[in-house]
Amino acid sequence: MEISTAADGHAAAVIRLPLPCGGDVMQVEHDGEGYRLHAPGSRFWYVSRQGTVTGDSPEDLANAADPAADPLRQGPVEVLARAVRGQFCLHASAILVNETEVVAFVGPSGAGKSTLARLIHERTTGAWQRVADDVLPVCADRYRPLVDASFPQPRLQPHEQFRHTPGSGALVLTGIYHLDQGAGDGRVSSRRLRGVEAVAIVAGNTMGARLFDRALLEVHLAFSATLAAAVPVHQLRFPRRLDIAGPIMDLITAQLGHLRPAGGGRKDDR
Amino acid sequence: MIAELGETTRVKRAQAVLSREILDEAVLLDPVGGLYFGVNPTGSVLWSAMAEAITLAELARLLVTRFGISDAQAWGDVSRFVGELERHGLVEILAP
Repeated sequence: MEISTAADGHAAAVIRLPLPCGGDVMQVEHDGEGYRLHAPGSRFWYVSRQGTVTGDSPEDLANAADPAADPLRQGPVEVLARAVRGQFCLHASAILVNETEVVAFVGPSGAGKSTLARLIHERTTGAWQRVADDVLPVCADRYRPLVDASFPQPRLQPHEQFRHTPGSGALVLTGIYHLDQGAGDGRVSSRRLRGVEAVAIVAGNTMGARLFDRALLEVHLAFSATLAAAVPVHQLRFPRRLDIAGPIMDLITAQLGHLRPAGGGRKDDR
Repeated sequence: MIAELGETTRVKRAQAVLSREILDEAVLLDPVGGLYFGVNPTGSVLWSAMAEAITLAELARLLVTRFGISDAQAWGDVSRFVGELERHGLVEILAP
């Protein structure tokens, strides 16, 4: 993220952040009926204005409701369909830090999202479970931004897939950390982002936005503003070290004060 | 191409740009260029005023009134801000 501020403090500070990635290989056309998507050599998929998905053949029609039927259906098409229905997907890894509260790690590819979530998961012997690895669907609500943990997570092994305990309540997103690995003075530190910086982090780490038409981009901007107002967004700086999970867990626990990890403690607490 | 900006230059938000006020700041999105832009409270005041065509002199007066700064400082802020917006295609320069 590039930030420039005029020296006199009055002219506009400008943050420049690329429109989020996701669906880059897909071509998309949109009209009043909805979206028509395809990738080179693939079948066509349609996403209606109501967010329903259909294909262009009887086989596709039969599989349309099943996101696992096709990699594109499972990926960009599903992300777009959910966005149309008001549920946007963050490009994030996420961990469940107690029974219902989820913390998300966002950042560009290679920032260490998956590695950090895995290290924390291992350090807590699984008590802080991984809810998502790469795609985190979120419904923005001013008071309780809810996480949908049902999204398929193909980057997690079958035994690693999150299984929501029935009756344990909805999963609430309680923190977003934008990873800035390798920066700083070798210590773990974080800075709370506010206003447009926080909104830009949410907007810039939402998947599939290149597929959105103007109307959906407007909705997405509103979603980003609502989520950034409801959930603390931090920039997290940390060195590249395999033993980094502990200090970062301490920082998250301190910032989200009320948290008590579910289940067992850390390996080194025993 | 960067137009020469003068006090009588009239500007207006580019039609394609989406924007949203966030507290006293604003986020702009250029769907064509695929970039988000954040502007601070001063820029947000100017951006808000550019919903309709307005001259740079009027924008500068707005800052003087709103923030109590000098004419020279206001003109410097406005010309830099509008110049940057134009460079990124976020504003239209209208015929006088």
